[in-house]
Amino acid sequence: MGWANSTEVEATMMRLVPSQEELPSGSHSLSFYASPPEAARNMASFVRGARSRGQKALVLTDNDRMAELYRREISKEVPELSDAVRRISGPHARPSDQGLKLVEDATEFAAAHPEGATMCGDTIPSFLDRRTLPNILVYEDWFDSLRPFYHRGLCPYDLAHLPVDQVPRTFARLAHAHTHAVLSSDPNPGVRFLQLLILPYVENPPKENLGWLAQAVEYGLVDQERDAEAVDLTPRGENFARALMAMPDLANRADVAARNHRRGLPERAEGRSPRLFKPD
Amino acid sequence: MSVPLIRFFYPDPDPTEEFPKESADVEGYVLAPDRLVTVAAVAGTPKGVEMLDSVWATLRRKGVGRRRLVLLDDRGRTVSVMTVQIPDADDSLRYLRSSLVVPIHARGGFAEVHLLASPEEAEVIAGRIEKDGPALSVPSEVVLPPARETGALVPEDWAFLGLLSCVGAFDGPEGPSPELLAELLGVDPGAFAEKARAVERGLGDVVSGLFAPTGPEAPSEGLPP
Repeated sequence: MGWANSTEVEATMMRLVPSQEELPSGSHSLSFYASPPEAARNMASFVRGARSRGQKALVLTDNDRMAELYRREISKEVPELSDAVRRISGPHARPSDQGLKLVEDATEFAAAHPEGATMCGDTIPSFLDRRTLPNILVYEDWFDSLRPFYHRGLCPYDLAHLPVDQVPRTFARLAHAHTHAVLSSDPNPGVRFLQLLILPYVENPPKENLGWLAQAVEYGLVDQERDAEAVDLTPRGENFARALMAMPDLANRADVAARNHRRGLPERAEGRSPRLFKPD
Repeated sequence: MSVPLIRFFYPDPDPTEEFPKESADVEGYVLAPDRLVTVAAVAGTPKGVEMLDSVWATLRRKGVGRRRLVLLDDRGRTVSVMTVQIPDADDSLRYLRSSLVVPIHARGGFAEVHLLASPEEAEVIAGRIEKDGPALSVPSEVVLPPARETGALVPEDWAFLGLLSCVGAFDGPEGPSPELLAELLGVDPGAFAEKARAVERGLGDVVSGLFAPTGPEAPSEGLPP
């Protein structure tokens, strides 16, 4: 399958790096993002890293819009690799008798480049939800068990769509199953807050970020048992994270509703049928 | 403090009657004009749902239950959003809005109530609860709030966020509309928008404090802040 038996990576604990470009051969990495443009910039950075290592690149996506964004960003950065983007139908990790496994597009590409290739499938965030999350985490463990290899593998995760209450446990598992991580640089404070929760599981947490994590504990937003590695969100912390992610949008929509109400305009029809509300 | 719930349901409880052992959590509340209080309580099991139904039936029987909506949250839990009107609640509400910490866990017939209050204030609140409700079998005590209260948001604001979170208000367009949320909370859309903006500003203040510089060290290795 082309999973060559050598690697630059000997990390025992996941390591943060500043950009996707710097991810080394032999790495299986997390990449956090919070918007499609950021995901595209990250992908271009990752592919740029293929050029400097003389590797071929493959980016699998099942989303036309993202395929276009990736091609546009990669063309700006590494035009010679802009054909790396391949549109597939459905997820790049599909059910098999042994759980989720890679599609053939990926395994064949890896086999064709035993010297090492730069590869990414971006589809996990599009089918990740509370129900599928456990299988995805098992898949990540399986993929990591394929190391050591010469390849560079990237797993993008959309922080804006992770179930907030699942984030602490998910980060702990993901950190265990990856060698490197690149944090999102999205300025949304909700994104910044959630990313504090991965710090206990990385080899090189920035000191200032650790200070913020300690403040989050003091504020009662995060539980961190003394001398314990694990962190968890408190109920207050969960609501805080959700609100940071969504409050500006909710407040904007509330302003529109208030203006419409003052003008005597009818309520939006779709607003009357939210999820399973029923009168007593 | 630990508040026995049985006398809320039965003025003269039968001592042999066993209160359900199931649990439910009050995850948020909001206070509206006319002494209206809207409470979001969550049950994770069918028995817990039965308990919330029983709570609502009691509130209706006492003539204080105004309206209720029921929904399933994104974890499949049943959320009961109950609006009650408390006849002589002005003083109690004044205390509660600055002190009552959510979530409130109700389990085995007792509610575990955490207050952000001085011992004197806690005694006054306990007295208020005893006045219309049960005699407190456990002496009131102050349960310490988070080590460092954030200041920018008072307990009532956190409770508002808890309620919004329970009803899916942060799910974007898939969640309830602002109009429905306003109706749910017993206010007009303008008042709801005003409150949402106020809490948004408070969140901004908390964020400023949370991400304030923590030491002389600059962010290391070029990692994002």
